[in-house]
Amino acid sequence: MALITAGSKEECKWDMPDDFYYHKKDHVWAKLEDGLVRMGLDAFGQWAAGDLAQMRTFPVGRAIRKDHAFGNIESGKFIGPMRSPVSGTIKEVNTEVVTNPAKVNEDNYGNWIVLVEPSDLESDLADLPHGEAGIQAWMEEELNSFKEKDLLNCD
Amino acid sequence: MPPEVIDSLVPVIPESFKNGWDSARENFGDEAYFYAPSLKHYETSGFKNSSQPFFIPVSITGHDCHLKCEHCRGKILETMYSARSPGQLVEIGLKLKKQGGEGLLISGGALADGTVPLHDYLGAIRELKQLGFQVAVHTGLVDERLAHGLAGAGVDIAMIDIIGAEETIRRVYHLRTGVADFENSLRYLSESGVKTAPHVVIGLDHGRVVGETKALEMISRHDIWSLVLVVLTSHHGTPMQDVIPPSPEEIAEIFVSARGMFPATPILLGCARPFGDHKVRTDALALKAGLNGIAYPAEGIPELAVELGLRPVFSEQCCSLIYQGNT
Repeated sequence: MALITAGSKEECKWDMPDDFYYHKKDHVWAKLEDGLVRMGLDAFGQWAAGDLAQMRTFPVGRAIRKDHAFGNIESGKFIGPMRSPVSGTIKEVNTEVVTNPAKVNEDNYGNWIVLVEPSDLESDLADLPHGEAGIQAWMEEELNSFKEKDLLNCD
Repeated sequence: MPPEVIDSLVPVIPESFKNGWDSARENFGDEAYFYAPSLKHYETSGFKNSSQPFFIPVSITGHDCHLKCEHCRGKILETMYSARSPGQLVEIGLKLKKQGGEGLLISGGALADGTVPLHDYLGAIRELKQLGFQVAVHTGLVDERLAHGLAGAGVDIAMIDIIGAEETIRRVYHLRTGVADFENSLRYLSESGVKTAPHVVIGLDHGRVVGETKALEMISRHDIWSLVLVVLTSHHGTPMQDVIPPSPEEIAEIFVSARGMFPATPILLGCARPFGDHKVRTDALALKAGLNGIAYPAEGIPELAVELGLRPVFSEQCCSLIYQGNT
């Protein structure tokens, strides 16, 4: 587990499992499971978006592409897409979470969003942050970007 | 997509909306304005706001608000930059200038009497204006002195929520003031020469449409720059979190009334409204009712504007500033 911290406030500590892969821009996690990829929002992503009020995903059976949206979310401070870390086909949608996206704020790793059958997994995973060192390096850049925009209020 | 959402995106103006649509085209032309200030990250297929701060919200009370309104409990302040002193406000402005930003929406939590403590910040606002910023201020209740102070500081627009039902003021805002105090505030602002953009929150009283028409009547007695309509959006963790907002059709009735009462005044659908399918339908009805612009439009709405024969204009400024600056 990579623990990311950005200041003294308890809310500014984020757990990022180091056996997961991550979409760098949209903070979508990807967990490999028997040839399939389970996806959800990572701890930092759900924190940055705030209380999620609305979520939509493409339906089961829809082909999705790496770096393209598989759904979108809305909150008080974020309206935008969730981009996929991998290409493939949606096998399952967690409708419980889609109809009540606040569940992601309660438990962002337990409350997954879609399960995907990947089509080009090895190539897609190559540039995704993974492992403690890789995640720490990526998140350091990400936190700096947020600090520059005064979007981190952690001290 | 549910059938009612698909229906809402059909580019046909309902018969009961035609007067408003025609009057909007006659008075304002064929533009549809869409806004996405830096209050939130916004990205849809047709419009995305800058990754750098451009038009930012600042609270002069941090997260503090004495009113603890039933639908908000100060939660909206948590998404804002915090300037707890005039010096901090100017510092935020200087930093924003370096980042290429162009404007600030200054607001804050209210004191127990419904005012926002803006008096101490008038000098800082003047400095922000000298730096070349557009400055919008969401005021709360104001007296004559503050209205003149805001005019003297050069604010570009003063926004104020107008409530038309006494019981709503008590039940939701927890204030002991009356509707006359809200109207007087608007009067003071308007008479001081500040451009004003009164806001009406549709469904504010626990989702019921109660004093909205009265609020529009109160507003119609004053000289305003723009009218902003928003819809009750109850925050998670507040007493009203499970309240059902008015339906898009109920909301559209207010759109039609407002367009009829204010044929030559820009009317905007502002930032706050329920998400998801409700938002798609509400936004579509706003366009068809002849409103001039929409903040953070739902996916597909700019495209609907084109299908309706309108020309979309995108901006990252605050919607109440329509026809000032870029748009």
